Amino acid sequence: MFDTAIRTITLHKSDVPMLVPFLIMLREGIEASLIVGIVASYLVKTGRRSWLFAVWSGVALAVLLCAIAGLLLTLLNADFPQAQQEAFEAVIGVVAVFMLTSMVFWMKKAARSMKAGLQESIDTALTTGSHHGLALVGLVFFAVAREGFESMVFLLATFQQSSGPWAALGAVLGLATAAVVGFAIYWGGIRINLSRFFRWTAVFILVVAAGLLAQSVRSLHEAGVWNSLQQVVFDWSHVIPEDSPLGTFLSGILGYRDTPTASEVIVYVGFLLISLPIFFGVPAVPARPRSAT
Amino acid sequence: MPSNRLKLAVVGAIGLLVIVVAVLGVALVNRRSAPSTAPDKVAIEISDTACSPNAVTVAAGAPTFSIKNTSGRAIEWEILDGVMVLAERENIAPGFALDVTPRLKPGTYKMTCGLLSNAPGSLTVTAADGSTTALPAAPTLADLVAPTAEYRVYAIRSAEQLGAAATALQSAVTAGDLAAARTHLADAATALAQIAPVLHLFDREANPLLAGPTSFGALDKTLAAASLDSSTAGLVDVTRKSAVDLGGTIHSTTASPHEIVAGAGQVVADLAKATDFGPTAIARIAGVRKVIELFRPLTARADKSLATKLDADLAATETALAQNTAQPARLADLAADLVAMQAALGLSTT
Repeated sequence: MFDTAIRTITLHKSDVPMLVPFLIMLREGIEASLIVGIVASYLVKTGRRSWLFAVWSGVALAVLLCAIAGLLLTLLNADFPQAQQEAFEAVIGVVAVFMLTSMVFWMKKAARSMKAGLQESIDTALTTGSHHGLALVGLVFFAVAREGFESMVFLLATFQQSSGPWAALGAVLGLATAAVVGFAIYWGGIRINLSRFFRWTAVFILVVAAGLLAQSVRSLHEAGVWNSLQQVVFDWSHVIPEDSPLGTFLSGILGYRDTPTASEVIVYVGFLLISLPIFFGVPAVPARPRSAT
Repeated sequence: MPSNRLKLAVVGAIGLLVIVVAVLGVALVNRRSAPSTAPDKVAIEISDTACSPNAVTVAAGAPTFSIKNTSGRAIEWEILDGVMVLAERENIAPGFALDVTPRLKPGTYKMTCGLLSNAPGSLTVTAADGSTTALPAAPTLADLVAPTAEYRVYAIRSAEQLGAAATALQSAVTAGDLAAARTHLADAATALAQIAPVLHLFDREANPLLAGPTSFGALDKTLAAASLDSSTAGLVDVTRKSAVDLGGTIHSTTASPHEIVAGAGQVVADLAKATDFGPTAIARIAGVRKVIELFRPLTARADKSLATKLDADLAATETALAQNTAQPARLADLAADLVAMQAALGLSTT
């Protein structure tokens, strides 16, 4: 029953050479803009709007350096170093998971220690120095660099390889849409009511982190490093293909995979099973510490 | 937080990078007219259902595959050795052809052909002689790092034992305890014999431990004559100092894998020529055993039968020495094995 639908989609795609480059760039772009948006809104929400300049600088530097690297690679006709790229993605992915998770738990602590609704009190609650801000800017830089190099090489390929301008246009539009998504997350993040921000953004960030962690496991496999538990758990490539519009969105934001391996599923589910109960305060040990005074 | 001056610097850097990007972009646009075509590319087309051709044979080395996506979906192409990804290219959009130039060893691999449900293709990589069995791998520099480092630790530990035994020897001589002195002398000689393979790195003639009246052989005779006087104390003091010095030298020297294996071969060859094995022969062979064992995994990978022969000849030599039966032929076999081992490990004499 899906067959007919698939055939239609496939035919549709071949007819429109824009769509696939658009979706590829959208996914790569979202993976970067998501982290930028989260970090930027977090900084604003915690009274560090002055750090935004550093965030945008980090984004710009990463984009430009990736552009230079991609241009050089294409100029030299060199092979794309996919294995090294995967290893890089895995390392940055794990660092990002660590930082996002600590952000979430830090927010929870800050939310509990302050009187609800008083945004100004966060400033005082925020005694962390500039190290924290610098680390977040570093995260933004590497999150963009992580996707930027591969995206740049792909973008150049669309300019060089396609018969018409449509593929390149699709790719550029994909990147632009990803930027819009990042901004939407940023705007949404800074508009949302503070206590909601802390609660529901935190859940969202934890799910994002779970996806990043599973993706890092996959990158490690593709880098030739991790080779255990590689049996495919389910094949949904005919149900929600990863390169379909919906699949792209789910994969870019939540780390969806249409053919996940056992190790990816274990890491994804395991991360959420551990982090969510801790976040919502399910006591890990029967003896619960004194509640808020 | 950042100061205005810092902001200015960042903006300046961004501007500079923009110029670099523009220059490179112009260079790329101008160059685009010259198409790059490697003559020996292996073209593979991936359709919605399969790779075409679905079975590819290439020569080992770094062949270039040109992967063309004729399907309607974004695909990735992988070369798999079991579950391990040997080479990969992601994000191949429909209609695109991308080059992948992996380094491939002889063997049979699988290649993914788009969707998971599509049958994987087969990739056969042949050696120069047409065989697909992987060539015996000579160890790389990285392979040799671990055994070399482990041997260094062993040599340092033996040198420490030597130093401790020599110090105890001096105390015993000072105290006039002849029996204890002989025990400590034997311990020191054993420790020294264990690191015989790397002693050839040092000047043997100049080393008081190896030549002259302070060498362990000479001291043994002195002690056997049961004459403990002030001159003996002086000799033993030189011995102790030399032993401590040697410890320091071994600590600061890193013997190369070639020096270690060649040294072990030399120790056995010297023993084979000796008419009298002396009391330290067993300890010397123990030191040689250490070398053989540390490099054994690499030897076995390069030449399995040689590794087996080494084990057998080493065991036979040890048995012969333990039974105090002189068997120069056994030692000559072992010495020849060690020369072969040196060659198998790619540790040429040059």
